[in-house]
Amino acid sequence: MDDGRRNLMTPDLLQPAGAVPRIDFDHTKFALSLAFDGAVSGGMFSEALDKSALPRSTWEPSGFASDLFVSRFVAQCLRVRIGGREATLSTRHLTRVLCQPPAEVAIVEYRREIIAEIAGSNDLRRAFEKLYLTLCALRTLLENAGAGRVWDANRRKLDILMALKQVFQLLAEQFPDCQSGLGCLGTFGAQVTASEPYQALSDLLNYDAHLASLSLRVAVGADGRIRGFEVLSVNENSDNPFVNPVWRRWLSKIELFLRGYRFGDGEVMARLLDSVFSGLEVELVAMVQLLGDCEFYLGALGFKDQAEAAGLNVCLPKLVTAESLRDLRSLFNPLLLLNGSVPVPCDLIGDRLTSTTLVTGPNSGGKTRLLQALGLTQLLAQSGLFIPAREGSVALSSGLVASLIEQVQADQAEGRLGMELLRIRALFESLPPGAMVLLDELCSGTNPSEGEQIFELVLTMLNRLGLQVFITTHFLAFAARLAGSATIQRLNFLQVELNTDRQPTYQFKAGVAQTSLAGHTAERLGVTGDQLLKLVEASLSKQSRQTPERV
Amino acid sequence: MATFLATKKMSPALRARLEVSVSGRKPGDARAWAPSRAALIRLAVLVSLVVLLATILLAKQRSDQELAQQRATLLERLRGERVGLPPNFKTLVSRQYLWFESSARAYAGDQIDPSIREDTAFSAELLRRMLYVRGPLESFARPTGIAESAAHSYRDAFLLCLLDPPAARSEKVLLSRARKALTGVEQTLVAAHVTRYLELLVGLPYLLPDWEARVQVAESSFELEKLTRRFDEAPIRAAKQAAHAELGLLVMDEPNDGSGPTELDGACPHYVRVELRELRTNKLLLRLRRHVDPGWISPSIRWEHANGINSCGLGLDIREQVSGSKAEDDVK
Repeated sequence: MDDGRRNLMTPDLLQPAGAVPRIDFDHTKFALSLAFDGAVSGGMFSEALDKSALPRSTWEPSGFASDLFVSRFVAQCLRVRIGGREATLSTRHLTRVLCQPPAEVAIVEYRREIIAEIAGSNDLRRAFEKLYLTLCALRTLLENAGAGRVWDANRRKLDILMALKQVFQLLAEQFPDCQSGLGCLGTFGAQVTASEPYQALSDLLNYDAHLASLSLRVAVGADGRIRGFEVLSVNENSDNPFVNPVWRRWLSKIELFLRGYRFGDGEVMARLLDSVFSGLEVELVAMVQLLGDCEFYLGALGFKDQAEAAGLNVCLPKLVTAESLRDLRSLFNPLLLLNGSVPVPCDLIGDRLTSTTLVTGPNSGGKTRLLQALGLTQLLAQSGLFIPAREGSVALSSGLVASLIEQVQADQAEGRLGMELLRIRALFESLPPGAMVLLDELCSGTNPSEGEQIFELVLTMLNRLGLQVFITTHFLAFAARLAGSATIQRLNFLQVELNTDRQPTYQFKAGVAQTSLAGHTAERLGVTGDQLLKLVEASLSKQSRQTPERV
Repeated sequence: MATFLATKKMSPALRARLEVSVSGRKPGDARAWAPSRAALIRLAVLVSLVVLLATILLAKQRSDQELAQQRATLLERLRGERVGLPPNFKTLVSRQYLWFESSARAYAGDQIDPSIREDTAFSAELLRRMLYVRGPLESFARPTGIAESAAHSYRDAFLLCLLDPPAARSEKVLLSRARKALTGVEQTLVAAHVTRYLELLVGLPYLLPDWEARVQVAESSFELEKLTRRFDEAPIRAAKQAAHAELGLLVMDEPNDGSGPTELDGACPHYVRVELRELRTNKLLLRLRRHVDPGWISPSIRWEHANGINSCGLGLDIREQVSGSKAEDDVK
């Protein structure tokens, strides 16, 4: 660890204070030094955040991230709009944070307290947003995001230091009374503003803005124009430690020249700037981490705003044990918000959380969407953020495996059933007890009688691990048989509710569906017998017109 | 290593950081005190420049001192030479210009001061220190003409015969005097107290304020050396002697009056104006206009000595005119 790190607590909003900085301190500090000196540093913050360490997690992102479209969810649901302008977030970092929820409940609680406190106070949220905007301004200056040529390097450095000072002031003034983990911001701000490097920073900025004051007497003519002015007095800001007598300023320039620098006032200022900046490098590294943390919470608040704008509610769920009963009210799939449609919320109440639930129902009845909603809910709850439900309770799980989409790979070695069986094997190889499993249409790639045997085997084994399992299937007879025989413990059944017109209401009730209503779907998509016959006749007629008659 | 950027009001930590920023090395770095190559090069260049500048300044200072010394020496000599000059020496030349210029106008008539009417009185008067100049009448109307006439004025036969008139006016006697005047031996005896006006004109400017100002403003040693050389070569002593002259003797030759040819030595029939003044008081002692004509001189000697014989005769005429006595005519 670098000697310059000092005994300074790094504010961390993703895990309780006292932990070591998650960011690569030495690398980031070096990168910041280069950035301050004007080196090309675009993407420095993002790179540092992408490489930052996260609290220990038992979740494996490859098991669910692509099936739940987490990247897309982050990019389009965790949006930050402040003052009518949308900020550019480090989505890769946010996706990493979201996909690796902490294993420790204390950390989850820590984050929940922070988000609850910010969401509970408009003033605090405004302050938090202002802090984020100031950090963004700092990032822009350091990364030279405008990509413009810097004509006055010292001016740019002064701007960076001014932004840095503003950040520290905000931390010290806006967050000292926070009850949650946000309090560490106030503590950090107070520590920094009381430190020597901050005092030097203030003095230097004061030196830049107020080297001396002139008292002038301005003479104005009868026509209102200035006729002349007279300098009454010149007062040098001699209390400022950076103020040197004129002769020493000249000697400074000569000294710098002899040391290999350029001769001029600019070089003197550059040395002063560097000396002040080097005293604040530790604090600045912490600000890089803080920027990522801010995005995490502001993104969650953005999701809340987006849901509420669509007439939906989000909440921080109650954290319960796995033996508790399921209770999710007005649950919706946030991915449906992305294409502009308003999701229909549903309630899931009653069954024990650690159980296996078979979901049956017609095609396009919302079964897969339900599994996505449940997966994202678990993910968000596990990360300490709002879940897409009006209210509810969630038991923290040790992992998540989702198999919701079936993509055919050009180089896959097995057929559809083979690939599915391989996936089931991998599932059992890595699945920890207490995890959540979401499977869409298990064993649908083979004949029903043989598939049902594998299905039953899988159910039996999953049941032994004590998992939260949701599986959709169109093996209705098989499901009905299981419901009737009760051979597998803790097996529940949900079916898509249909209205009187036998259309899905996107609500779910206990039981096994009687039909998949494939005929309805076929009719809706134009695949009935009459419709196909018309297409065949039309094709034959067209062919006969194109064939020349033989004499 | 301390830096001039640091101030006493800075905290020790800030000073340490400032020193690191300036030196580019951390305090624990073993090379913290080792200067960089750029620093060494710049130091060497700066030292060289300082040495060069100091050398130039010292050389200039030495040169200035030498120049001042040289100037002071010359000025001291100049002022030393001024000692004993009459109080009005600065305007001496200009006053004489005025005299010459006014005398070159229309002739104002003969005039002899009664105080010199007696031959003995006139002879005594002529023994006083005297400036002498002779030239064509028209040359005295302008300063350059005066200088030309002064340059061509010598202690000639006229002066010799005026100061020491021959006993007879015969051609032989006058020829003898004219020849003596040419050899110059006689003048050292008879006209030793007479100074050519040229001496004053050439030497006096070196003692005037204008020349002193030139010495004062001379900017280089070379220029001062040149001035010193000129000062050394200038006829200062003769000029001082000329400045002490009590009388001024002016002889103006009017142009040929057309009554006869001009001889090979320049002699011709013409009028000659002679003026004698007391310089201090500007009192006119004598003003006469006489006609000279080489026609009476034997042709065998006329071509060579007509001028000298005529001049000597003119000197005799003046003596005779003042005292009223007459030299013995001896045609032979």
